[in-house]
Amino acid sequence: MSSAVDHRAPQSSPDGQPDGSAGAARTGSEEGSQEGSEKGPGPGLSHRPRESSLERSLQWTLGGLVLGVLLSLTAAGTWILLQGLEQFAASRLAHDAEALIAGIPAQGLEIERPLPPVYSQPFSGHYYVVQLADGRTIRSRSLWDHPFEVASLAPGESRLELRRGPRNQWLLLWQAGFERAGSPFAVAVAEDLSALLGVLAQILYVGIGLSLSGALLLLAVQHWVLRRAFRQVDAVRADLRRLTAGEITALREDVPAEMRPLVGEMNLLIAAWRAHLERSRAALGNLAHALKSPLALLLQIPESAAAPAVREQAERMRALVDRELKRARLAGGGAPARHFRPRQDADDLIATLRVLYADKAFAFGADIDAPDALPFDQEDMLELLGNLLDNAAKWTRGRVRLGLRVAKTLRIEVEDDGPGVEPAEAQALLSRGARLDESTPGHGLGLAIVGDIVRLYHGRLELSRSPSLGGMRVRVELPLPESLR
Amino acid sequence: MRLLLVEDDAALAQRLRAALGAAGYAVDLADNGQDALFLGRSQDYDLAVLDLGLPRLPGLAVLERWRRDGRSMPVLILTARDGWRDKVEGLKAGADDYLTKPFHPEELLARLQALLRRAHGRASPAIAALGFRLDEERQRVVRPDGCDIELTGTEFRLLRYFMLNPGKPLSKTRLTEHVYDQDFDLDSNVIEVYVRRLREKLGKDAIETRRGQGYVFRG
Repeated sequence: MSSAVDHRAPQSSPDGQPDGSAGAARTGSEEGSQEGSEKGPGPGLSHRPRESSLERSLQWTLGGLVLGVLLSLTAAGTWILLQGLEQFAASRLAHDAEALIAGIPAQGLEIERPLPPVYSQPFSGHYYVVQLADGRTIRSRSLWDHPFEVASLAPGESRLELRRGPRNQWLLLWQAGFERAGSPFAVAVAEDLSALLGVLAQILYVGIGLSLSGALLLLAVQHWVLRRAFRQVDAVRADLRRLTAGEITALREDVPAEMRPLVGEMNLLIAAWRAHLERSRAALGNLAHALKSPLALLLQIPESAAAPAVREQAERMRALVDRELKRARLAGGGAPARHFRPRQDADDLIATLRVLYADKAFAFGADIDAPDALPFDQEDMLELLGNLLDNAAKWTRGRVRLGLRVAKTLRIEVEDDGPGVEPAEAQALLSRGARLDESTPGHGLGLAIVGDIVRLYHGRLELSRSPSLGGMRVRVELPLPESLR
Repeated sequence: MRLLLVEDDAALAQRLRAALGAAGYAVDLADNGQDALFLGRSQDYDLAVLDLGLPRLPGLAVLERWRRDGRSMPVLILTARDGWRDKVEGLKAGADDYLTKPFHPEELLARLQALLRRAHGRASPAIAALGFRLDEERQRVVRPDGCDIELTGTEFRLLRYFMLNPGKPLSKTRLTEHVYDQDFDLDSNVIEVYVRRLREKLGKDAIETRRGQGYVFRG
């Protein structure tokens, strides 16, 4: 029942990708299809690059660094403590060893000097072993029956080591080789450091715990600081959105100093682009003027005086100039120079058409459900609506209806109660408009321009019979800019 | 009908002037915005054809100032600018019709006639008053009894102005102004001659003379 031309570029299907952040790259779905050259999904449809987040990379590097520093501080501190502890214990052990050596008996296994009583209590944690050259081994009573190896060191040698002792004690063992009256002997004195090592381990664990929580705290603080900083970026982003929506014409420059140059550059760019658009439109207007007056003159030559071929060619040139100039003037998507105000612009157009068709009585019904301003170029939309309404006014017998609705798309419907078109004819009209073969004055060219605009905005154009009025119904659907979706 | 043609393209202006003259309009020509503004303010025109891209003062500004000064003659914008925004702005500035270049002269004439009829509050497409009907295509008048009467160019212009203002006293000066362009010598008594000829063709009572006021078309 209806025929439609779908001008949507296949890449830009609005639901092709999950809704990411607003500024995410819109990969290569720009127009470039002036001639309707719809290609298959091109190379533009590649994966979106992995989002790089400033905050995340800051968190990784800074968090990792801080954690590393704190942990190595803890480790170093613990190690230094351990060293100090060992030195301290070792010097005490050396003192005890001196007393021990002085008390080595010539015979028997009893030390002849009084030693601290801890060496007598079984498994007290303080032990000694003396290995004499004659085979005697003097052991402290505290060792009880625990076997204890003593390294045979040459006289003058000494060694400090940590080793497992009885009852799983961690012993700090000091050993040394001596010589008395030509016979070498070895002395080993040990002290249990388990309790102290336990404390050291505790210090280490607490240190690690503190480092981890310190790093977490730092990340939290950093997150908060960054959020605060990025709230300024959010403000700029909101501004950009309002710019796209046409509520403002430039970004506010009261932003943090770091961002001011960026915002300034953007404002300059926007202004330059706007000026450029205005300039090229003015230039095209002048060109149109320059070309059209001679053509008008050609057409003034009465039919009798001019060869029909000349007149025909002049007419054809006129149509070509009209079409190409209009086409060149279209702004298409992107940030529009002036925004379309559906209600007001439709009212203006209807008032204009009432004057242009003053001799024709017809009722205009407008049903508009849209925001006050839409981020479509006003001139493009005036051109689109103007041509549609003009066609309707031309063919109507008394009633024209305009419907304009913003939901997921901008949908425009223009219906009349004129003769209308059959589906096959509609298809022909659309393609004929494209080829600019003007055999139905008015319909062809107007629809061709409408087709151009719809194509520029990746929309859909559909001709059918109006169910309510019986004449032509033209339906245009344009996808909304991202900020409105 | 006195018409102000504002057009800066000399060749097009000359051709238009000829075509409009042949259709029975007294045409004054202005080729820039300043002159157009002055003429439109100081003279009493029945119609104006206005180009938008004018030297010295843009057409839209001219139109806006005319309207601000209370000049209410119908204005047709004739321009190369064919965007709908231009049309909307032109009509907002106070234009009554809009025609884009290039155009067919026949279409311009048809639109001017429609403008005149509307300006004189007529719904029907033909100018008719008190039983007479004016055939603008062939520049003739049809009497109430159905008889066709041939008219010369000046007779046609004069009668059209009478028929657009039936029952109103029209002074000789006003008639001269609306029938001839500004180069015409206003002291001439040529209006009297043409009124007499119209009376001969339409009947003695068709046009009444009012002393001190001028003529009244009564049919």
